[in-house]
Amino acid sequence: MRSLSLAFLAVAVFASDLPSPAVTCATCHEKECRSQPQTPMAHAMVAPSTDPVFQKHPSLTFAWGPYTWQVARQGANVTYTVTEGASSITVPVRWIFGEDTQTYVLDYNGHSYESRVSYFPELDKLDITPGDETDHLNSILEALGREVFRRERQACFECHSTGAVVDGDLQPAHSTPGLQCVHCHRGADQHLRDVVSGKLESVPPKLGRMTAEDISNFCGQCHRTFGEVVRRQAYGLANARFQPYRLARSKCYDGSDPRISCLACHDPHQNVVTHNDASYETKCLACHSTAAARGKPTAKVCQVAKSGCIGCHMPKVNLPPTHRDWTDHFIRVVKAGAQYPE
Amino acid sequence: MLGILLVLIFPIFLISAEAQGQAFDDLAARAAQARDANDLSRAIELYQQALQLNEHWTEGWWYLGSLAYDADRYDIARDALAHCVEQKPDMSPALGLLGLTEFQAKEYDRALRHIQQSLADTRLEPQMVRVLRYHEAVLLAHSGDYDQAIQKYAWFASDTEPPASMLQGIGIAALREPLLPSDIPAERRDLFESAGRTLWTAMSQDEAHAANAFEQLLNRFPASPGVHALVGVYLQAAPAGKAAAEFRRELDAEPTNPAAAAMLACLLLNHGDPAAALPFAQKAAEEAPRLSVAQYAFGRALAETGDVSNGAKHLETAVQLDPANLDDHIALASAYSKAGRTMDARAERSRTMALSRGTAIHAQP
Repeated sequence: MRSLSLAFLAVAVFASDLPSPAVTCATCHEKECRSQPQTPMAHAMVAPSTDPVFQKHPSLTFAWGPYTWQVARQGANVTYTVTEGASSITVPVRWIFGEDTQTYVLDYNGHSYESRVSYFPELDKLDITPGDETDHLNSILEALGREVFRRERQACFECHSTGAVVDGDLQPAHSTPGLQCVHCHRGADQHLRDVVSGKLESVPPKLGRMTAEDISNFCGQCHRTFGEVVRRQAYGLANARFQPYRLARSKCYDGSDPRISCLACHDPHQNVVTHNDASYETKCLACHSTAAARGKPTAKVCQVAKSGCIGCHMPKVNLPPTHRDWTDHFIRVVKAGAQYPE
Repeated sequence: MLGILLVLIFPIFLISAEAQGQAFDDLAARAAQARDANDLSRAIELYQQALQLNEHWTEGWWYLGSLAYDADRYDIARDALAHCVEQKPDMSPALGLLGLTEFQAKEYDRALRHIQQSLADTRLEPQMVRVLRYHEAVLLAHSGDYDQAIQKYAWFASDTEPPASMLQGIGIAALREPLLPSDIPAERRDLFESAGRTLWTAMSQDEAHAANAFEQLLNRFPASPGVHALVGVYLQAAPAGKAAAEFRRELDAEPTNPAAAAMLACLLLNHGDPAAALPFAQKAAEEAPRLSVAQYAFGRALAETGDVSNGAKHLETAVQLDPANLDDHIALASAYSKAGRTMDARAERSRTMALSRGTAIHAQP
């Protein structure tokens, strides 16, 4: 039962019925509030009416076997249609998950489905949703999407939107697309109310003060912890997407050392740096350098090179169904020809 | 019937022993004839005589054991199968049947051990796997390992309609009472069967019916021990307050229910409130130091409120009490990691992964 309960670990998100806009989070936290809305996490869910993909492509189509899919915009609305011969099902798209690769959560006849096709910016077109590529579709309903049940659906909204879960109940209509302050900063809404009335003591817990292990588990609520991957037996190449799990596998991972926490390399209020590996090397050298100790234990110094840490020790992993490369956060000495350590 | 079934698959596991002497050959042939004619008593008698002439005849011990099991002569069956296993320790059908025989003889610890050893063999015939898995779940619940029992019963979740005995078995695990289905008093059978059916509905992923089933269970048996805790477990995925309320009702009715206190602590931990979980977890661990979920909750609550060192100690106890529980290992690895015990954390993660993949090796009790 412990695994049952833990499987539904919830991110606490609260309704954003906040007070007057005169005082906002940005009043005091201007820097974070200016940059965070530009991040992919802030756009983890996109409203159909504002999705730039459909501004660019009024209609996207894809064919696979006897099925054809069309995702099309008409004014502010987007519809998703699957066709098999003379039969077709059309449903409105109300929730678009993801800023880059986009998958749709659809409601049809009282059931929920993850769309069988997704939009891939690398292809600039639709293709089969990752994870579904080996499925055999036996009906137009199966072609519509993979049915998702209450708990999985709730987990989707918990990680991609803010305020969708109210006292444990999923209320998508109540949600705000993407991750806003209160998604991660528990109690931020109360804090804001208190600030308005002159009380400053109800400060939400400082996430940056957590241990590396706690931060990994916190981020892992959506990016997948070691525990979740192991429970789900999510082994194989596809778990290269699950950074907290991969990081925990690293020899250099120490849950008590802030130099290896998620936040050591990534500021969640900023866009992740994807095209400048060198910018991360100072993080490696915070440990792997004879000069950088400053009272902290040093780690083995690389005998091969003084730069290029990331390319060698965090190799890119290509996941064909996702049409993109992923940086493997399992930091290690990669031996030529070695199998992916799943 | 199971014995007859096993007789058919015997050649996979054994190479026939060579018979010695004419008398032995004659007895063996007559025993086989009686067996083929389904004359169990006569076949048992003839196998016993033949084995007096050649006690190294493993095949004979097997047939004697399986026939005696079918004839409900468990003393003979247990002795014969023990000989069989002694001569061929990797003969998994014999191990399984020995476990079932020990179950009938009320030697429950041995029965569980032999059944689990047998189930480790992936070549077992599917019908035998079903029988063994059911008995494994029954025995786990009887030994107080309710969570493991429920996981074993989940294997049957795709069945269309389990028999009443299995529903009662699931109910025993669900209501956390160390009983066998056959031990349930007649006046409580409805309660256990209803609780079992309710949990089975949830295990079958039939969410719409599960919600109704839990509500009905609560309405029908509002004062029965274990019911509120069971509903609380189910509601952990539902609005947080509802689950906690059910656990608190269980504790109101039975304040010294360490399982309910531990589960309430787990709920609070999973909702990110370790400080609130701590007193319930501590109470549970003090009242039931051998209850792994209590040690788990207390260990996590300590670790997550800053006392990582003591938290790790209680999580180590939880792992010792329930070495096959993934959650205990995951929490222990995390506690080691937070404590900066990187080597211990890595070793624990390796054990956790091996357990998850089914490649872990456990010391047999």
